[in-house]
Amino acid sequence: MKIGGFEINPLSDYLWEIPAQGGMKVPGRVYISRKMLEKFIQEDESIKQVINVAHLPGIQKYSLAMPDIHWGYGFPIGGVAATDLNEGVISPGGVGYDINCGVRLVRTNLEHAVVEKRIQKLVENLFKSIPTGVGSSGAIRKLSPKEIKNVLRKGAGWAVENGFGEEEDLESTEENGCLQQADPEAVSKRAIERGQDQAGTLGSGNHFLEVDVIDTIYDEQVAEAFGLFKGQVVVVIHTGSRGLGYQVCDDYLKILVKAIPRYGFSLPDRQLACAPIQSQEGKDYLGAMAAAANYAWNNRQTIMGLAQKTFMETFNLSPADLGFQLVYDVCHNIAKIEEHDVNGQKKKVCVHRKGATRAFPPHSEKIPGKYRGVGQPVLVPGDMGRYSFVAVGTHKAMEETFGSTCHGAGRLQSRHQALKMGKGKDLIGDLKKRGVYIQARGMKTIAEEMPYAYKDVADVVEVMHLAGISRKVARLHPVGVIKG
Amino acid sequence: MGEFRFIDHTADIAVRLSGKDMNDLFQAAHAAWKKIVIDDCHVETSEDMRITLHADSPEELLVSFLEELNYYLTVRRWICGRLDDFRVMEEGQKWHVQGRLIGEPIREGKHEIQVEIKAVTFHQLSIGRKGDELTTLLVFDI
Repeated sequence: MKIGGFEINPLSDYLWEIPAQGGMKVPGRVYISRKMLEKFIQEDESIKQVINVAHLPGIQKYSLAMPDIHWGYGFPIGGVAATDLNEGVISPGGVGYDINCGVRLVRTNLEHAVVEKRIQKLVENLFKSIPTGVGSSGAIRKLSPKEIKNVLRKGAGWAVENGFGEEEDLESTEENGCLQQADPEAVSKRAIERGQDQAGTLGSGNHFLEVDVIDTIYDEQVAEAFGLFKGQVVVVIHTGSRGLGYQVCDDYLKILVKAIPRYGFSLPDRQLACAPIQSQEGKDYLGAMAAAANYAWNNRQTIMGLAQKTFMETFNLSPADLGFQLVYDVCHNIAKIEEHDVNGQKKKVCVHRKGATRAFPPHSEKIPGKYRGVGQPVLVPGDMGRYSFVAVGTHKAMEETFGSTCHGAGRLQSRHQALKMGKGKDLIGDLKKRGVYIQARGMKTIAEEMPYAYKDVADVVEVMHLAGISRKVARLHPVGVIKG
Repeated sequence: MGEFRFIDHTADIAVRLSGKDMNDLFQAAHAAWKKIVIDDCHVETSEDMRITLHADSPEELLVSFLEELNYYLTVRRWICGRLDDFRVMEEGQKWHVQGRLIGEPIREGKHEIQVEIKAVTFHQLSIGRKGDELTTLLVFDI
């Protein structure tokens, strides 16, 4: 079959391969159904981007893409690439502007019937306590540059030290909420300035805090291990490193674009700018990116702390009665040094996940002890009117995708199309009919983010489930949403 | 002043810029940026900020210029409504822009910020001549 002029061959019902050709160092592999491939990928350039990524020096095995693949900058969104630690490169385009954009899932002891009666009040209170929207700020006091550098070193640990959550939350966060190689000195003054008053803020666009109810359990044993049950109220937080992360990406793209000729790389797209991982530029970017990732973990931890306080006040509950506990926090825009099996040999590689989620299997030392019997929780948010999913990592993910899976739904309509479609409609009323109470900064955001503007995330999750990469555990239905 | 035209884009915002010269093209970029972030809100011209930027290429200079506008918007909470004494120059292998940003502090209730621009990207950014005009595509990551 040809997509965008490129040959792509089925290896199974859910896996397609683009043979290595020209300057490609490895083949491309895309996890997707035929229907999705024909319906969504035909018109965009994402297959070309999978091919472009295959040109990166030191890339191992395959240039991979998950079923939520769509057009991005340099890498496609949903792209995964592992590069050799000694001979390979690191690329900001393989991480994205919103460094460590990610998702955290919090469980509660509450059931839907209790929350349903006060959902409007709860959403209003959450909206008051958690700043949302463009350039949102002021969730906590403005931090000094020195304090920001502490956040960049400590990640989620900074929030816990400052009263936002518990020590055990860190165990339930990917990398314990802190990448140790963070180098605050590699972060520009301007990036730090952008981060000073944005800790604990959601931002805008597709970022959100949702109050969800578990409506389906697919795997009782794993759900129990994650502390999840049908009818339970949970909270999903989706945001990233805000302006600080965008600035780090901007700063290093400029530096690495200039470095390309020096290293003699021939790259098909300037947004794939990269440097050898062991070069000074590579080390500096890795240190700055890790610092921005830590900022994002601190951000989600702080928001969780603010949300817990809001729940307690709204329902007049003690922490023990509320049971606001972190199930897990995953990042889906990141590059990390990990050990993987490459052609039969254990090898350290730099895994770029751009719009892809880590999905480590049972017995992995990199996941919390309490989940080692079942595997790592994987969180895949959908649109605000339908559902999100909890899945679990598998051994097959380690064998085939460097322990990675999908991250979300992806847009179906442009914002302009969605706005046009929403014109004259009672969008808040439409969401209410679906059982969703929403509060946002403006009607424009609601119109742009309506369910019809997104693909059905169930199709995405199903592909990875049937491919055996991440298995479905539970489905969550939104009942309350705050957005920027 | 140059012109801009929005191009439909699924995830982000793409705009086609055109102008008779670099000054014109940068003016068009500013107008597009302003339309994206505050739509048609009026901006008083009560304050000015002087800018001087340098880059290795006109594309890099354009990205840096728009990032500067974003910086003033998100960190200083200040919106640029107009450009004055604005010049884009090439000297040797380097490109420079200098001029004054004219605008006012963001005021709640008056300026409704529409979109958070994460970044001005280099994607398909290539300033070239088409007939009598300079033109390029510009994509904002939002």
